[in-house]
Amino acid sequence: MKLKIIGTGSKGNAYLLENEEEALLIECGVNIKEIKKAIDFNVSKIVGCIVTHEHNDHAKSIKEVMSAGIDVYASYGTHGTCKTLNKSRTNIILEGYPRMIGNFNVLAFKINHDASEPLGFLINHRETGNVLFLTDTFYSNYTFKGLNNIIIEANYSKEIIKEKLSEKEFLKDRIFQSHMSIDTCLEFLNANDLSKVNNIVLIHLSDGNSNEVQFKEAVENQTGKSVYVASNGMEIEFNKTPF
Amino acid sequence: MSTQVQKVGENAFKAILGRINSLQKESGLTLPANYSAENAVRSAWLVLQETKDMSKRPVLEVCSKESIANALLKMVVMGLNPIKRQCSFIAYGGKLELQREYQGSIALAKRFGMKEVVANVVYEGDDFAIAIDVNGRTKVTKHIQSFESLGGNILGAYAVVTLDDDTVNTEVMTIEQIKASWNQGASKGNSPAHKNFPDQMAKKTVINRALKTIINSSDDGDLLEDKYSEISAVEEHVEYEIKENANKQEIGFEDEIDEVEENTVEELETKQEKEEEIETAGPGY
Repeated sequence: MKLKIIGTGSKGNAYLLENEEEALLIECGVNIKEIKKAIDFNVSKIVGCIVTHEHNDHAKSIKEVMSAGIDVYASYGTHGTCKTLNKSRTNIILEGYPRMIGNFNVLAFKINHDASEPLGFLINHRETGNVLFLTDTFYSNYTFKGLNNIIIEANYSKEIIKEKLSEKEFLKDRIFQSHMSIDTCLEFLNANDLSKVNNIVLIHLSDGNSNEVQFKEAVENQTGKSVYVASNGMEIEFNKTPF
Repeated sequence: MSTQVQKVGENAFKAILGRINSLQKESGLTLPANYSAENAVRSAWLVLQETKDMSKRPVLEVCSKESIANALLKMVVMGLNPIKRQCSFIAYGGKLELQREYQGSIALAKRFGMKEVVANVVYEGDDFAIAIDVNGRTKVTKHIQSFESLGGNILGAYAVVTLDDDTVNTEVMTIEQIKASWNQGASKGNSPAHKNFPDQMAKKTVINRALKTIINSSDDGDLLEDKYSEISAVEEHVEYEIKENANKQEIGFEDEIDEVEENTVEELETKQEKEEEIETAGPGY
C-alpha cells in the first residue's frame, strides 16, 4: 500500500491509500483534477471517499467526487452542511459503527473542531493494519488499539503562534480551539501504544505557525519511529512493517 | 443544580465567613468602612449559583473549593459587591477568579481618595489639544466640540480624575489604544454594546485605565493587581479541557468486528485473514 499526499494544509487536503487493486480517498479539499491526476485518471479504482468535515480545505470537491461516481462517506452533519444529503453517492457514516469500503474497514469517531459533526477515522486494511487519520481537532478524546500507521495533524507551536499572532486574538483563539498543537500531538502519541507503529505522518502544518524541522525532530526523538512531514505530491510506502 | 452542590456551597459559605472573622481578629484584617462582608458573601453565593464556565457547567461544580474561597476573600478584602456589579466571577481552567468591574473600580478609587472622574470622547472635527506641564502631567488645554460631530468618527477619549487634594490627572487614549484594550476582553470589542455604543464603551475604557493608576498605587495595591488582562481565557480553557478529556478512552475494531462481518458480503476469505491478523497483531488488535 502507498500513501499519496495530493494536498495537505489549510489550502487543501486530500490523501490516497492506494495499492494495485484499489484506493481509498481521504478528504477531497482539492480540485477534482488533482485527485484524478493522482490516480492516473483511473477513477474507478477509488472504492470510496471519506470526509472528516465540511470545511472547504477538506470537502471542496465533494460534489464533483460524487459526480465522478465515487461513494462519499461522511457524518450527517457534514453532508447536511455540504448540501449532499440526498445524492445517490451519499453515505452517512456513524461514529462507533465500522463500515467496509472495498477492503478498507473504517471506524469513525468524534473529534473536536468548529464544524458540524466532524469525524476522525481508524482505517483497517490487511496491508496497512490499523491506520489512524486524525486532523482538525484540538485534542483527541480517544486512544487507539493496535496502531500500525498514524496520520496526524501537528498544526502549530504555541511559541510561534504567540509571536506571530500576538495582535490577532480572534484568529489565535480560533486555532487554539480547533487545531492540534505539536505539544498536544506529542502527548497523544505518548498516550498510545506505538510498539507496532511503522510510520507517523504529520499533516496539516500551518504555513506560518509551524516549524517542519523542529516538529519532525520532536516526534522522532520521542517515538523513535520513521516520521514524515507531509508535503504535496509526496508518496510513502504504507504497510504494516517496513519490509 | 444538584442539592449536593448547594450543600457544598452552604458549607463553603460558612467556612469563608469564619475565615474572614478569624482574619479580622487574629491577623488584624481591616475591611473598608461601611462594607458588610456578610452581605457581599451572601450576594456572591446567589450570583455563583447562576454562574457557568465556558462549557456551560456551573462553576460551583467545576471550580476547586480553594479557588472559590480565595476569590471570595479577595472580593471582601477589596470591599466589592457582585450584586452592585462591582465585580464578577470567571472560571479559568477549573479555578474561580474574581474580576473587578467598572463600577467596582470607581468604588475603589473613591475609597482611595478620588473626588471625581469625568470622561469625554474626541470626535473627528473636534478642536482638541493636549500639553504636558512641568510636572509631567498631561493636560487637556482645549477641547471644542460641535453638536454635529457627536456620534461621528471617534478619534480617542480622555478621562480627567480629580483627587481629594485637588490634584488633577488626565488619561488620554487614541481609538487604536482603546480598541487594543477591547481586544483583551472576552468579546474582543465585538459585543453589541461595543458596536452600538462605542462612545460609552470608549469612556469606560479610558476611565478604567485612569482609575487603575489610583487603585494600584494605593497602599494595598498588590492585593488588587489585575492579572486577567494578560491571560487569554480561551487558552486557559483549552488547556483545561485537554487536561480533563484528552486520550481518556481506548477504542479500536475488536469490539464491533463480528457485527461488521455479518453485514458485509466478504465472506470466509476476509474472515480467515482477520483471524490471521489477530494472531500476528497480538491482543491489541
